[in-house]
Amino acid sequence: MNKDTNNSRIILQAMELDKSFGGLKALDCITFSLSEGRISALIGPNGAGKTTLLNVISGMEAPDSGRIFLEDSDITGLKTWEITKRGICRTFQSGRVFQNMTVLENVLTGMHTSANSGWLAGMFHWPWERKEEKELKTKALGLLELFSLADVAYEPVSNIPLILQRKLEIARALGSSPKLLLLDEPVAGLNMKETEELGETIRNLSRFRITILLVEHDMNLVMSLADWIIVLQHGQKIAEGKPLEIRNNPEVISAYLGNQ
Amino acid sequence: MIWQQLPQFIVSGVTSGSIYALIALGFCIIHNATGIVNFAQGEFVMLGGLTIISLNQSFHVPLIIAFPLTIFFVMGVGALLEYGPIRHSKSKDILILVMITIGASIFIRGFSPMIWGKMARTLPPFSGESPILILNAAIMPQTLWILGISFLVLACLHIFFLKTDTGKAMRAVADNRLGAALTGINVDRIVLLSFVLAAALGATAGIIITPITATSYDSGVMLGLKGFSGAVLGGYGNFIGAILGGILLGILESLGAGFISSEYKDAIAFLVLLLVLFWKPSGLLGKGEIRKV
Amino acid sequence: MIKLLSSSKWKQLILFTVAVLLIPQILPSDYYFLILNIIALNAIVVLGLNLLIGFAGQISLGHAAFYGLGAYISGILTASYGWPIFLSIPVAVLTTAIVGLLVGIPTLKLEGHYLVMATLGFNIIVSIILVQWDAMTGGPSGLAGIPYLKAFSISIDSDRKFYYLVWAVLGVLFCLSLNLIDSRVGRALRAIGEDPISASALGIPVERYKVGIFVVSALYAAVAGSLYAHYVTFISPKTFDFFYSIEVVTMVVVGGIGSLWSGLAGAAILTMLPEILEIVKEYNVLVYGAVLMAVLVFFPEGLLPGIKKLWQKRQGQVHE
Repeated sequence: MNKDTNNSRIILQAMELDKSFGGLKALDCITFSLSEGRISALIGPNGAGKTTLLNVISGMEAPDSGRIFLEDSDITGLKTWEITKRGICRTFQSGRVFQNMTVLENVLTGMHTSANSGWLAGMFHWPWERKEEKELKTKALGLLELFSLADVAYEPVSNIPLILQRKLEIARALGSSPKLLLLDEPVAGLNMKETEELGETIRNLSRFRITILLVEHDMNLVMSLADWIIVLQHGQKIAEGKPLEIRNNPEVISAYLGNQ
Repeated sequence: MIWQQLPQFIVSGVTSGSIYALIALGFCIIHNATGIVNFAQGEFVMLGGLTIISLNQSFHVPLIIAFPLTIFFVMGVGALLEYGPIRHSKSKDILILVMITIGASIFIRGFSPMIWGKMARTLPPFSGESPILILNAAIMPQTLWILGISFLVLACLHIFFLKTDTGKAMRAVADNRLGAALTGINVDRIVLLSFVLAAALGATAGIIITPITATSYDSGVMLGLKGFSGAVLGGYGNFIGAILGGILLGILESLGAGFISSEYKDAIAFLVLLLVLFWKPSGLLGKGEIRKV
Repeated sequence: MIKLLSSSKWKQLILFTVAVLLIPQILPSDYYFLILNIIALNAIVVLGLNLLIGFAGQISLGHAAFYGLGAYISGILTASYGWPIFLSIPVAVLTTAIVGLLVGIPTLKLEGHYLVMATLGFNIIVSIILVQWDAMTGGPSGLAGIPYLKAFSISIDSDRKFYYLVWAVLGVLFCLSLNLIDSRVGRALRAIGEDPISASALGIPVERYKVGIFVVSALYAAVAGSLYAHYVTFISPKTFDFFYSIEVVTMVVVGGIGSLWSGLAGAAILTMLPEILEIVKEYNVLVYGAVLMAVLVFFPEGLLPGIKKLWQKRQGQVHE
């Protein structure tokens, strides 16, 4: 088992990832690893390749070369749903909860990989299917409770405010019991108070012993949440380290200043 | 031997193919302005054919005058379709709008037997019936008319889209509807225009094809379908693709009929179309699906 | 005991069953049974299609082909090869499902207009084969001599007897479909219908489920088709051309996308409409098209939900 310097387990290991879009290098030989239980943040100016990296890890785009390991198994080139099944779940930049479902149904959908009932079971509602559904529902309600969403469990998603929708998206992602959670700009579009509230929610996730990779523009949030920061620019990793180190890293400062 | 007939097959394939191309272009123009498939496109073709037959045969209007009159009439029908049901639809959902065009095509198919009856009618060829021999192919004068007029129409369209302000506006809307609206382009007008233009293309196809295949109230269905197939084959919404797809479909059909079996010619054409789609899911010249993640 | 349904659905379903059992007592002539039977057959196809279109968000203009395959395979096996019906129908339904699988795997990778085209193309190919393969299918003039259904030495040879059978089949499939929506698979399908990318990020194998629901809907169509063949005992290719495909999609949309009850209403209304339009004689096609357009323009959410909304609005005004 791979260990990092602090002797905690390595959950994700990315090795020399390359990805180009028609001559433009979106990812250029990216190597990094994520340690268990940590909140890591991925930052960098617009167009640095953050979302591409997230897409590559979650299997939505295949890397041109390089390998990705989840714990000890190679997940490079697997399909998104296979990767989710193995333990990586993601949220989306603009927030993509299912508007036509209730809050509870969203979380139940997120638990897809934690249940087994198939087509015939669904059609005939065999007793064990009912039992599984009941257990799933109990678990889902518990999850909603943790996110203070239990009161709106039976509301259609379109009826609840944006901040709750963002929380719901995280709760839904946790439904698949991931080892690694990828959050793509979770606070985009939220005001300051809401940002703080969601930040608190993310911080509280540590009780699940869950590893988080966060892509975020809001530096205050990143500095207050992250244990570890990885900085990208023009598809290359230019620095990584603890928040304080990154804050004082001249290369990072110039990357940000040069871009503004 | 059968191979000696190849030029003949190609000629007849290109002939029907250029008809399909005109219809396919109509599909593309409406698609680019609205995003919908206009299932009434085939009815424009049928109306074009039947109207010119009536004008020419019953009212003895000379072809040269009947031709534009017919096109104006069908353009009016196209405008009515857009200005009526499409514009007033409460939902702008693509599926609903597409179903409305299906309703419109049923309506038109129910309407035309009242004027023209259910019998197939035909028009004499524009200029005689003595074939011209080129290589091994006997070419009917009507074939030349079809090719010539199709080419002329394509040239006019090319100039329209590249040189005129309206044409440029239409391309802008196709490219980015919201952006176009923000720059002050009247999108409603463009949508109306796209139906009128598509109707004109359909009518033209209907007029030039009547002398070689008789037209009846229901002959728009299959022609519309072929046009749609051509457009999909080329890459839906892509003009060059539509022309290419239409002509390719015509050739496929004619080769299939000539070399394999005339009963199964449509089946062969559609089978090839399916295989092409499985190989290239967005048509020959279509842009690859851009997934927004 | 297997609990077939959650209690919330019971009321509607009991009402439905009572209606199905009562209607025969008040119908004046057998002609109405013919229409009711066709409604049920259409409703079975619409049911599957509604799961595909309304829930999984995939369109098909090719389901007439599956309806036709179900009818022809069972028809040919019994009429030409003397198979017993209790074997021919399952074989027909299963074979059609396999065809659905083979067609579905490459086809459902396509999206939007390309999917429409591919399913339409498949339908046309099947239609042409039904017409051209005379030796097997009887060609354009059709296949005759298909035996009536028989169950425990009762021959289902009248409109009235078939009525009970076909509505019972519809009822069972309806319950199964309601159950399916309210299950893990159903949620996955709805997720795919709304946002396939999110669905895959939640671990749902999107392509597999799309093909799955396509096969289920093909299966429903095949059941309806084989019942149809043994009901009318004579089938011809015209019944199964792509116009029928368009018709059933229209029923889904006119009834109201994404609600099984609305789909049932859509099937009933659009099956009866041409019969009602007999009073306008030669104008029937014209009026049919006009009615269709009007409904879509003014009630895009579907006739049943639309009327409900209007009615609630009226009620609201009365109370004010």
